[in-house]
Amino acid sequence: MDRDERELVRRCLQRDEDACTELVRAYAQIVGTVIWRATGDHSVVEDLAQETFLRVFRGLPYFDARAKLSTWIYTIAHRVAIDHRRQTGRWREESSHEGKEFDNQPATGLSPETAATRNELDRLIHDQLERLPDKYRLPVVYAALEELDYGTIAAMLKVRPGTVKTLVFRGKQLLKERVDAVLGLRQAPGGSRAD
Amino acid sequence: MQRLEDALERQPPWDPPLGFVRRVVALTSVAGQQWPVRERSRRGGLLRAAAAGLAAATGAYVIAFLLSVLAATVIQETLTAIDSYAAFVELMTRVVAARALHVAWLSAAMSLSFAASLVHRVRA
Repeated sequence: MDRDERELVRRCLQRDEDACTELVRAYAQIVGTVIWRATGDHSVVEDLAQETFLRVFRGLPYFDARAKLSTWIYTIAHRVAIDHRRQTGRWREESSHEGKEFDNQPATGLSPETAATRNELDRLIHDQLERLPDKYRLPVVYAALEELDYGTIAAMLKVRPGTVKTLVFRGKQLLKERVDAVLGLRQAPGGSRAD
Repeated sequence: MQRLEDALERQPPWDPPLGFVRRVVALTSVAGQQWPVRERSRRGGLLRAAAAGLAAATGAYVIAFLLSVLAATVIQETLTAIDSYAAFVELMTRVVAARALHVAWLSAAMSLSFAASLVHRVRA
């Protein structure tokens, strides 16, 4: 933690409202983005971001000054999002969705002719991303955020940075296989399964 | 794969709605009245370090003192144990010599059962 952050934390602990505003303003966007990526649900982001900052301020007296403030805050945001996902029953375990057992039915409303266009491909990718097991999905979506490096993601997920790299690689591979499978399915005559 | 990575990176960030920061700060100010206050001062850190050093020094002194007191007893007990071990070995040698045939059969049986257990493990 650098001197500015240490000073900010000290002022927040003294309940300086300006310092609290500064802290929330500095981290609100990335906290919300982490939560949005983790939950995949825009409608809950504001409430969960609020909950994150409440937890941050509650935990601030116990914050270890040797740690990085941003990593600590992102980790709290990640936990809040995961708690929410578990509570709403959207947590995807590895076993039931890995390999070829996934549902590769095309999303409704997409025609084979337009499936290759950029917007629809994006939709398809996000659709399949949402179906990935969280073990792979979270590293993949976090790695796509510029603000989060592998070290930070590793701290958030409580794994080693090398493991994050592996999970991101494997997650992207899995995602590509699934997207390709759906595209193949759409292009096959009569909509029959390509595999 | 490149298109996939582009699509992942194209996702927009979350923009806090108007008044979000103010609302959060207002909430934390209310909740802040129940915050535990535990600010670490430099003097507190020095005191903790001094206490740790004192505890370590006291521990080392106590251990050294106990060792000096116990040293004579420990040496005597060790010598007795060495003597006892020598006596035990001598006794066992005499027993083995007197019952050589029985010991041979026992050794053969143990070797066979050990070999059988190895074979069993390999097959399993």
